[in-house]
Amino acid sequence: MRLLDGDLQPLVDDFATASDHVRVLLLTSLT
Amino acid sequence: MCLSGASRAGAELLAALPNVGLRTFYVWVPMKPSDNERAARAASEHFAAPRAGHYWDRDRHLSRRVATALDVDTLPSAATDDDPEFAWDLYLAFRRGEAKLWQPDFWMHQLAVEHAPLLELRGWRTQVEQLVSEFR
Repeated sequence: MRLLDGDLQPLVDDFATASDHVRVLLLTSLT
Repeated sequence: MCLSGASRAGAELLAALPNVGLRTFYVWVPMKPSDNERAARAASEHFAAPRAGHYWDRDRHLSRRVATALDVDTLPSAATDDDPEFAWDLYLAFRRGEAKLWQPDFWMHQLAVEHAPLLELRGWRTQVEQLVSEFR
């Protein structure tokens, strides 16, 4: 698990790297 | 409930579509004081999978951006005057190619909003399968 910073890194890079795939993004709470 | 949403929209989807070009990004969002990094790490371990990545939106950078972009209000129970609106329990799908994280091709939710469908597995899976089949 990786912490998001104000530029949404590292998610932005990982998301772009997977651009040849369909991607699903789940924003989920913990409780 | 959030973890059931993560299970249905993430883990069950990956299990149902085992051999397709699909990647899942779980972003864990703190909603209550007890939602800390330790809890997020436990959830990420529970939902660990080869095609899944896990992120901790501790400061709600992404959840605020998405809330604004998708016009999603916070539930009154979670919002305070000092706490700008943020989003959670949202499930976003993107076709192949370049995309911004807050501009999905399709999305579902488990909130009290009416301009997008509530999460249900069959509809979610159908929409994702449609995106997968676009360039087969």
